[in-house]
Amino acid sequence: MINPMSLEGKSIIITGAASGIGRECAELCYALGANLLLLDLNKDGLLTLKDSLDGSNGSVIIREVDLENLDSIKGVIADAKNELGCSFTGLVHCAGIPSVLPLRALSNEQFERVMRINTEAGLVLAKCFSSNSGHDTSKQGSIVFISSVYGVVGSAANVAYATSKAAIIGMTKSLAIELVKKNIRVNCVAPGFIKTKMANGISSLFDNDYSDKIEEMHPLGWGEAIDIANVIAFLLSDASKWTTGAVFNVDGGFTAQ
Amino acid sequence: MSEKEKLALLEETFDVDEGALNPEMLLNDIDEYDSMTKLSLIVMVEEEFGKKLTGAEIKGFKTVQDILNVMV
Repeated sequence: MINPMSLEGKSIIITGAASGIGRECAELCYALGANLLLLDLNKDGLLTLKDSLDGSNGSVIIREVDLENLDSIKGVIADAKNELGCSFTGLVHCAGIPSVLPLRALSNEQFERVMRINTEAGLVLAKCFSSNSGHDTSKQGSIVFISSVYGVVGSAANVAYATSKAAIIGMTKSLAIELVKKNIRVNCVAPGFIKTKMANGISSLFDNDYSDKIEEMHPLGWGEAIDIANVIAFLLSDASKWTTGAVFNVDGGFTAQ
Repeated sequence: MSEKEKLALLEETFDVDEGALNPEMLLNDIDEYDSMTKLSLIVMVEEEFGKKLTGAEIKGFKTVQDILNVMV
């Protein structure tokens, strides 16, 4: 039986792999046959994840990395590539931090931190991946960035996060054009609200009916991490070989209204 | 920090005029005490006093004095 979303023979970098969308993406990509380089600040989470993968599919390498330290990223990728023994064919930048702050409470430092992790780190990762030493030039490469519904529409107390996620969309479209000569596709997924630790943390700041209000904003209700991971896997696979520069609104209908 | 200085800090957080707040005021009577102000309050208390307010604590605030009491 043909599986158009098979990731066998592909080696994929996933940031934010220890939890949420990144973790779900890692588990799915592993099940689809990929070799993985999993990056996160949470080393224990990475170890738990690696132990849970049954060893019957591809190789899995983990690296603890602080994406806020942009200068450290290149060395981490290079070192992991040596251990994996091959170049990479895919990159997914799932790592990110929320920033629920009204404008009056937002400092320059907080804004810069959100931009550094959510957006600039993605740029640095793309640079490492697209270099001839990072990307397997014999195969079509695929970069997947994660934006957000709040990179597409506005919301109060969210300007730093929204800016970082809107910038991801600009990055996606620009790099899609620039990297086509290197046979690398670049797409992004803009998720709606899904049940993750990040979402639960935000919910705790508001009234009890906040969760209900969020659900009402999505015609299909709250999403799950696997909903996002499925689309990421599609974009990493050969099934999407003619798709680049696209923004996939995987949001239960949030932005359709 | 004196009570006057704390009130000034709160007035900035609430985005109201100087002198607009007094300790006896009920928070429900202050139009500016909305979700934006509550989020700003969390940031201010952490930055100025090193405390992380929880959602439950915020819900428990009834008067301006209740907030002043945690600003130590």
